[in-house]
Amino acid sequence: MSDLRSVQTDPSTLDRRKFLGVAGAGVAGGSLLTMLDARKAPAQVRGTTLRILQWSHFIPAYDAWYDKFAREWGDKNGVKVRVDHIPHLDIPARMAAEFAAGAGHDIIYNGSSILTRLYYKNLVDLTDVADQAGKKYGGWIPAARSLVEVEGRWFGLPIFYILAPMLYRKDLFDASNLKYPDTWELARVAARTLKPKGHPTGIALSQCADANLFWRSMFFSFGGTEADPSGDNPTLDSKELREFLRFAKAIFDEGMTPEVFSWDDASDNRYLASGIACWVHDAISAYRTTEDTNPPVFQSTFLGLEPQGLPGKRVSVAAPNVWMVWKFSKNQQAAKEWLAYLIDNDLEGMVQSRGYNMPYLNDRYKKPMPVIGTDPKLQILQDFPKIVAFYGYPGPSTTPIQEIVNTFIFPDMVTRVCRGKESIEESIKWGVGEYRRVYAKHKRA
Amino acid sequence: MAGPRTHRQKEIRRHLWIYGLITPYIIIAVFPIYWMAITAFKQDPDLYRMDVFPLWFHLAPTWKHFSYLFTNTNYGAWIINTMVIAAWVAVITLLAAVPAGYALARLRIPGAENLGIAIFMTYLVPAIILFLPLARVVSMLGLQDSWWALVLVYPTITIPFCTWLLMGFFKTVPVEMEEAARVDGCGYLGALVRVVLPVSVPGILTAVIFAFTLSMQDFLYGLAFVAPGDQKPVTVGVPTELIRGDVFFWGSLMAAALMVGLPVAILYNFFLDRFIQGITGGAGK
Repeated sequence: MSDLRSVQTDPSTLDRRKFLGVAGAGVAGGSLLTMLDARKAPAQVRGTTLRILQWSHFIPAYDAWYDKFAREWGDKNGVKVRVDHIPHLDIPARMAAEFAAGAGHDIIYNGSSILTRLYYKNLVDLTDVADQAGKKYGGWIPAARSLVEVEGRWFGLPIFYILAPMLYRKDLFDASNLKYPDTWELARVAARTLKPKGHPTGIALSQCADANLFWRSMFFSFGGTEADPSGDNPTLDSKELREFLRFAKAIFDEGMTPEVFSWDDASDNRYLASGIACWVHDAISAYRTTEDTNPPVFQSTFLGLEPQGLPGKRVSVAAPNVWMVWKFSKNQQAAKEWLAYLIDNDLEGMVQSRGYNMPYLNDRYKKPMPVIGTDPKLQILQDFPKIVAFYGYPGPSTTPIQEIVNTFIFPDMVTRVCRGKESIEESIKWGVGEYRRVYAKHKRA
Repeated sequence: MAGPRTHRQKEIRRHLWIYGLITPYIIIAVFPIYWMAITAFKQDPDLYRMDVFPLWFHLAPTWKHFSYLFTNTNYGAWIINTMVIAAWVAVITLLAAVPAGYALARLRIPGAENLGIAIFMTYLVPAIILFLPLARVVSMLGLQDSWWALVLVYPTITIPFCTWLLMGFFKTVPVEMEEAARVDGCGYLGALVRVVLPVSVPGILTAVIFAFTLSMQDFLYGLAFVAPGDQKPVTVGVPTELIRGDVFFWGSLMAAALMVGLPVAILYNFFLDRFIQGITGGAGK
């Protein structure tokens, strides 16, 4: 009987077929890198159509600019570009439909809820584009990698993230001789002092993105962690969690009203713009909304760095934005070309978004940055990259973490404590149990 | 000592009771419409003030939220798309549900009752489960990102419900009327078209209204299957353009909802009697 196992060959030798394969891949890879470097789309992309799906940006003018910018790039390179917009919270449903159909857009955007790890087997490896951009612009900020890297490869391209600073009313603080909220304790004191004067604070305690982001910022700043650095094991159950929950209950009781149980992502914008809030912890969309609707309050609203929980400990959980390319796309090369071009112009995106879009590349933080570097109130945002983190901190945004985020387990746990119907230990038991259940489910899978 | 109550006093007292009882329900039903209308006409700075009475204007009313819809969004196209989709769906639904309902009600098919229940049960399968397999069907037919996709998928919701509705309605039409038609020379089809359908207008109208409004209410299928801005139905287009991250364009959102909601409400009102007749039994009553 003959041995059907393959014959071992000397690894240093190559047969003709292998040689052609290796050489072909080398030429293709080399060409792509050269093209990416020269920023000239190759002839193959001419005549193709590129379909991009992304969110409706909070600045309508940004979408108008983006759509035009993409069309102009397409005209220059012979690619017909179509950009579609849907609300960011509805993108996972659309993504699931495209995945099921095996058809749809070439490039798909994720905001806040990053599903790279869930779909990576069906996504194009964008490591070459990311490496090229990293080399060109001084590397990526550390948190970027955690969003999109799976098994050492980048299956998404982070292009910007959204910061959430402290937005506080300096006039109210000054009138009550309160210190600027540089620590969570100072923020609590301010809320406790100003609530009886008709100026409480609020952080959403409901199933919305803000609740997921901002309570985590507070927790991480108190030294808590959600998973270990590998992302494989949850590390929620800790003395830091207990300390944080005690503080959360106190700040809710002393400085907030039960309205926060029914808040959505826009509620804190309204709270600030209405002139009621003494401070909110939110993206600068709240600041811009106030600028457009209540100029006197806007004049007195100032921005602060993420407050410290433990001394010197500031962790700001930001809302990431990532672009991915489906493997079923017939225009993968054009998609890569466009994303590389978009990265090259991310500072222009920052300008068009009125300082909302924060870049992920180190060199972009040379001061003064566009928009925020020239506005005295916004300048402090330039210091955020050092403290930015994403869900799963200090680990990556793994699939279990994404499920935990999408099912709002963390803010639900905080809500249980703040409602006062459960003890801290009972809420922790529930929350930690949910984390373990989700992790165990994904481990089995 | 008070004299005996006159008939007029009794009537007034009766009406006071009736209106007293229904007033809370009217307030609950009308308040959201009032809130929607007032928000649509308020200026943004007025909208964001929490220190004043919120149910009236403190700055001059404005049309700007309405004009924003027509100058900065595809609102006009969304309305047309929605109406065209709803009209197609209503036609397709009637073409399928009338014969199906009639057959199940009248043709003594073995297991017709259970079949009717089974058809209705398909209506209960939530869209969140169906949209994934339907995505494949839509893609295979090349309808993705066109509103024709919705003309294809909405009848999967409307046909089961309207079949079940019409089945119940046809059962209330006296058999004697059909027998008389057949004695006069009509076949099953002739009896259906010449006798049963004319007396079933309230039921058919109810089915049309249901098909129309179910098509106008959907969000998930529209979101999953139609992404281009000019192809969207109004239910998807409005949140897409007017909810941007954590910024809600409240005035324009309410203006958009008001302009879609009011005509439908008025239309319902025109056919209210027939609609109630259709729901509660039909010609047999």
